[in-house]
Amino acid sequence: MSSFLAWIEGALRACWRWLGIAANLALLAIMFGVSADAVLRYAFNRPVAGTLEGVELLLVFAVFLSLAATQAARGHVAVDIVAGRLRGKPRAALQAFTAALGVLLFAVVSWATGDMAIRSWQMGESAAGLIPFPIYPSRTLVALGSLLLAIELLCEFARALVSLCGRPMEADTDPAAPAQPLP
Amino acid sequence: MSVSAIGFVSGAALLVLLLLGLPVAFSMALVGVAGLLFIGGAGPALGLLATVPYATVASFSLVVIPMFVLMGELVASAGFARQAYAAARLWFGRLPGGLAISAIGASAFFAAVSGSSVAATATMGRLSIAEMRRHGYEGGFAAGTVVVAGTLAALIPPSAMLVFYALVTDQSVSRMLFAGVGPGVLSAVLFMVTAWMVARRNPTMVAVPEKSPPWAVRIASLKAVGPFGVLIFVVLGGIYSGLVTVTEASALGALCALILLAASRQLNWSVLNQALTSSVRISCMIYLIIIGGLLYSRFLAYAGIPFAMVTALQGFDASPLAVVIAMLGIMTVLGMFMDPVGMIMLTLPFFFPIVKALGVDPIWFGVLVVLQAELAVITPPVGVHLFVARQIAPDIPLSAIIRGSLPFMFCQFLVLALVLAFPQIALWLPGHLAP
Repeated sequence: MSSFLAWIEGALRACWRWLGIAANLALLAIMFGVSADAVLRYAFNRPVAGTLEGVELLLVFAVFLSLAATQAARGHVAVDIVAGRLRGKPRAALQAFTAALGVLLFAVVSWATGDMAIRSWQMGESAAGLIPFPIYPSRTLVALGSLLLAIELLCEFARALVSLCGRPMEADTDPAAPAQPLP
Repeated sequence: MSVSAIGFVSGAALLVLLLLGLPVAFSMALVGVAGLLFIGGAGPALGLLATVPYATVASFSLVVIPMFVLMGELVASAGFARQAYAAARLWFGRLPGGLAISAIGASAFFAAVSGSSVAATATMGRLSIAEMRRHGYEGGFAAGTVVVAGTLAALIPPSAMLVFYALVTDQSVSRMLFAGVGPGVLSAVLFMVTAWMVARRNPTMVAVPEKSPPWAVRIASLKAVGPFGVLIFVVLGGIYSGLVTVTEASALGALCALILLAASRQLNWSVLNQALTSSVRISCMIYLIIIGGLLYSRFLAYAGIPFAMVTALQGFDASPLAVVIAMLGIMTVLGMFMDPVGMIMLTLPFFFPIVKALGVDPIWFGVLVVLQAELAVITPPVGVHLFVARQIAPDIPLSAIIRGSLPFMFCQFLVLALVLAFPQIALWLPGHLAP
């Protein structure tokens, strides 16, 4: 069970790494896109059409597809006054409980936003601008990102259960470890 | 269930979830959705869940946060901060506590190009803590100086924290950014004076002042602030003149930082990837807290809690100043245990409707909130800047760092009191902005 879980965790880490690179490229594209639009508008009075819609789509892509990786890196801030003081099984039990709450929350978010994405596609919902940009791709990314976060949390839940059943948690995957300040 | 009972139960549930270690964003979203389910049924709860996450993130104006953070991360990767610190030493090194004063001066410059106070603390900490100790400074004083000087990045624009407040309270981002200038500069000057006074009173804590270099050398050192000048001109000049919007200025600032990094031959894929990853993750954390906070505040509004609080407060006939001071007091306590972003998002749904009802200037209140939030990162037991300093210098005990930062912390309270007493410190500059 533990080795299967380790394999899943490894696969997820690889997945977050690739999604992280894609999110980084999206951020870079946002930087170039907004800058080019500003310069062209100021210098030649010719803004780049569709910048706003493109940037919004890229932002949704970068943020939602990084939700799971941010969670894996303990990047979502938490108060660890109680959890940080616990050790062993009480800590694993608490971690299992909070991870389960997280799974429940983001599974529901994913379902609700996914349903909205399907309706958006069926209605042909588009952005109110010069170019009728479809909105369903962004809405799909929101649902997908929430689902990936739920999967990451499910993995943390399983890891906590395994350690609750007797196997100690590995130091680097200790779910209750205090959040590291970002560099 | 009465409004006060709903408020009490939801507040207690939120507190329990936070103490259990559930991330702040998850806790607020969970209580918000569960509360809406309870009082309004599945319809409103699922409706909000389906729309709020997308509507929050798919916003052009929110690009400001990742761009300002990216700009700070890129500048942190370059050697500009090192050059600024070296230049500041030539100017201030001859004073008692000169290295600490130089670190504060360089932090103020760094703050003018960085949106993230954690990045500012980490960068200046790596540069100056070891240098100060090498020159005989007491470790706690050295680390304490850097820990507090790092908070300048949240006040002096561009600041992710000021933008965050402006976005969640629907205020003008540019006015909010310029409102941080006065209190930021005042803080920097008072921190420098404090370092000088501490060094004068405790000569054993600091090194012998460095020799005064010739004026020609000092003036030549000013070229080190060139990259900062370029970035300040592009970002703050662009916004102040009204030539570009805040969103455009933030992207242009990040692009300029990238070009400066490439021009100084320090740009490679690893540096860029690290800066981008850090920016994406910090932004991701902030966005999710905004989403959680919005779900929570919609629930509070649906339950009529802010209205009930405003009505109850009107019954007390309290003065707006007393109410604002009470709010800041609550934030001080919360800030000891929480990250500033979480603390702001947790309290604003309660505080902001009251502030608006009392007719308090929202920009002035925002500056006070950000000043308070910056106390949160240096107050134990949970203070991110303290942990950053510990990571940089693990041999300095946390208690020594806290002791070293105490005089500066007092200084921050003084700035808070001055901005409370004289709102013009914050409001004068935004009052002169191009419309």
